[in-house]
Amino acid sequence: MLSTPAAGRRLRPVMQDLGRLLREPWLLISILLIFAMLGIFIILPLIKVVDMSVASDGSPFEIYTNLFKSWYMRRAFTNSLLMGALSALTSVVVGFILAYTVTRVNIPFKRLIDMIAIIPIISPPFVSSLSILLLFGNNGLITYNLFGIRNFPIYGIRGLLLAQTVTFFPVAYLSLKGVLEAINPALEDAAFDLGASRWTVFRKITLPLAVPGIASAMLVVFIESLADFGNPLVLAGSAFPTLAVQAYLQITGMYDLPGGAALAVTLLIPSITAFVLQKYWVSRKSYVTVSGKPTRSTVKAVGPVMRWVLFGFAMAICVIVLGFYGVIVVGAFSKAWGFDYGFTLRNFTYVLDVGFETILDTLTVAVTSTPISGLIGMFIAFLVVRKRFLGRSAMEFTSMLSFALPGTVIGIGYILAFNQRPFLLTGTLTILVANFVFRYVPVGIQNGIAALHQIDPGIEEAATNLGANSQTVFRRITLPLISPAFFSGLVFAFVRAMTAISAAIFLVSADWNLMTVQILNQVGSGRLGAAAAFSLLLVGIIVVAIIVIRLIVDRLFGVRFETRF
Amino acid sequence: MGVTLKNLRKEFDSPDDRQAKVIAVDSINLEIKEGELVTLLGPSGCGKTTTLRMIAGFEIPTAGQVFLGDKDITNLTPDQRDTSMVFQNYAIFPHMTVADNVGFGLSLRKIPKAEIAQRVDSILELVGLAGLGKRMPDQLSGGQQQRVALARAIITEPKVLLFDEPLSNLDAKLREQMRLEIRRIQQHLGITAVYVTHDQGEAMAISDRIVVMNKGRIEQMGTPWEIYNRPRTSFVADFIGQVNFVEAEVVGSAPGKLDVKVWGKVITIDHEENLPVGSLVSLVLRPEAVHLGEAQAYATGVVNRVVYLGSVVEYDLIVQETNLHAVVSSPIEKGIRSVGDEVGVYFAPQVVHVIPA
Ligand SMILES: Nc1ncnc2c1ncn2[C@@H]1O[C@H](COP(=O)(O)OP(=O)(O)O)[C@@H](O)[C@H]1O
Ligand SMILES: [Mg+2]
Repeated sequence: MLSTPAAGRRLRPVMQDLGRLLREPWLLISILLIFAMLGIFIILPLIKVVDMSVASDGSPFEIYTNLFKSWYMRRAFTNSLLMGALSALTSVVVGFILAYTVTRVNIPFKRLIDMIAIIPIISPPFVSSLSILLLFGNNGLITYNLFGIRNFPIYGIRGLLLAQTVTFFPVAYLSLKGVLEAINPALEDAAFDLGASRWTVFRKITLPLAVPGIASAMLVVFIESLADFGNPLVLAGSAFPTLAVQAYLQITGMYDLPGGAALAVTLLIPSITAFVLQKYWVSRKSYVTVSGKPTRSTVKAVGPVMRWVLFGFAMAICVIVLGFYGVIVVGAFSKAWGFDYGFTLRNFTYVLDVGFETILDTLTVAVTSTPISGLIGMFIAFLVVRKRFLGRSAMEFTSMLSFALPGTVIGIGYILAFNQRPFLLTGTLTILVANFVFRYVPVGIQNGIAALHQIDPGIEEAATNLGANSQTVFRRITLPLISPAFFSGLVFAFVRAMTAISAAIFLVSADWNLMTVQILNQVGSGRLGAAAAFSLLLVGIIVVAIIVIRLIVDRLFGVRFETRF
Repeated sequence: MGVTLKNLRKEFDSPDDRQAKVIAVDSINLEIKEGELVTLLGPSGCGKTTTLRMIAGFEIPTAGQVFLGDKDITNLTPDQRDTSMVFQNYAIFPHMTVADNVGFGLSLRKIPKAEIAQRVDSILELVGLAGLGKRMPDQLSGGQQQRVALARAIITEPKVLLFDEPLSNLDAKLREQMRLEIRRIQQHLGITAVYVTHDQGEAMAISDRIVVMNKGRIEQMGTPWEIYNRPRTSFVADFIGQVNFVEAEVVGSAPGKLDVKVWGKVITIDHEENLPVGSLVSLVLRPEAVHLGEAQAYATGVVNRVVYLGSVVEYDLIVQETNLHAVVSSPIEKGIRSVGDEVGVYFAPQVVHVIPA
């Protein structure tokens, strides 16, 4: 085959690509280095998990068949899928209504809604569970103090759905707001002009144009809900098992690594399916470019009655979210939740006493991992968008993949992959940093790709043309131009690193612990006040850190950027 | 240094069909001499930009070679080639001052800062931007940005300058001024240049030689005079300015001469090749070469349309049932005809040129 002229001709571009890379050794080395890193820190752990789950003496699926003989594990599987689907639905409904209200209706307090949406994002993902315990638990403000009920059944699907909706609706809101802003209002105006009613315009124009964005948001929330570890651990209890929690308990409680690995792989399959759907199917169908400039919205979109309904809904959401996070503040400063709401700083002195080292550890991990992650992300984005080489799309897919891998899978994979030479890393700072670097590299890549598409490739070609090699072009032209996107991605990755739990819980040690893990421990031992104080401290640190990062970046690099989540 | 293209070919994967190929450049051969300004001229999509980008190294040829002087540079990356390009949309680095933009190429070559500053100043002077080095690009007009792009390209003293429709974003007046500037600077530096444009006026004004391209192939190359007055194909004749194709029949030939019958009259014109008697040919007749109302008219035409443009008048005439376009200058002296007028039509035999019909 290779000797036919057609095949020869097809081979020639590949050989020329290769020839060019050989002439730019620096580029070739960095490509190989990135492939090596992706291989070690994303693919290898994944292989280890799968390998462990099929490593038995009998048939390769013996562990699975044994595991899923138990109705409890089967229930965990269906529960996880059910939860993912329900959360996706409720979060996207709430997020869409809010986004529509903010972009299409003339109401006050729009900035408040934006702020409300940020709070759950910069909090540890299970803080809403903590609030639910404070509100509806045994000593709950509403259940016990208001109604005198002690055993309100908040554990299980109800509580979990509420917690996940509060946690994940902002993700849907922010992306759908972008989608609705990017739909040219002239299209809706044109339909009005042709005599369509408001309802018809919504049904025939706005909604269809937003459908790809809605589907994409649903898949993203589905993935996040599946991977959610903190909320189900706190709220689901034994009555409502989910895969992520069961995998953890299987390993830490029963010392059954193969079983835990098998549960993790089971969790992996729907996640990756949703990821592939989102990336290769839904995003292809998009009618709007999210990078489009926000245009002025029409104010005709809804009638007066509907306007009040939507405003009321938006305010109700604000009140709920503020209530949820308000009880955390109150709880942090209360003597004994449910009995004595007197002011105290005892929770904070306790937390600082037991957790000061952990706070430093957490900051060390986040501060080290985010810039590395951001730089690698930007560089991969640069290679993927601007360079031609064999394995380019494999590089993009692999590096974006870690977004779809549930933290539980990664956590188990890391302890399996890095517990022996040559990669003996368990219990070290390195394993935590490596985990966060590759977990949040997709953030940098996505921001980088979006920013690069805004830059005329001619600008980089001009630099090459003047004699700059790839390295110089990246350093002197590309990087300065994409630096606002870079820093904005950095802040996002920092926040995620500070609040992550699901993978990290497998990787912490006595030497290196994380705040989220300790908060969860406090919740587990019933010290809700301490957990609240710790959570508040964490959010405070994040807010201060964001302000400091912005100041430093402005001073040092003269770059101002938007903090976007 | 000269540039030679040997059987240079570029195929792209068709965006619509994975199997199919778009042949952007179809195995062209071209020799550009040292110090020469050669224009690639042709309609949009004919492969000009692709050719230029293969010389610069931004596109890898599917087949064929690019030589700079005697050296085969086909497989060199763009930064390893001694070529400098002026981009259509200027591609000025938006985050650098004018001086940093212009000095960029020198800064890569580890030249001392003081020397860079000095050379930047003198180049800015040459392109007429003296004193604007501290400005940011968005504080410049379109014409000034164009000059920055030019200065940035020439400061590294490349062997070849490449231009991709450098003036297409400027207004008409500025365009005419800038093309003279570019020509002046190119001749001043004595640098080899390849200039891409789809504007025939621009090509005529600045080129030593014009290469007319069509569908990835070279239709004809020659001096502006040859391209205009001796087009070898109807495509070239049509693309370069307005033209009439007048049908004629060969009725006799002598060495270097041809007798053709046109509108029933036999005239003798210059022609190198021998054509058999009886063959049909087209006479390429430029509208400004058509004379109206002369005593020795070849035929009579009827005025069908008159457009008064001030310095010239355009006429559409019907001559023996075919349309003939004429442009008459100095209309005041010669008088303006009206629709329906009958006029005699004449052209000097030496202005027409024969192409196969
Ligand atoms: N990257 C590409 N992929 C596919 N087709 C291309 C690409 N670049 C150019 N072409 C095609 O090659 C042909 C020549 O393009 P180009 O050289 O840009 O023409 P010109 O500069 O003369 O307008 C066109 O048909 C164009 O569509
Ligand atoms: Mg072009």
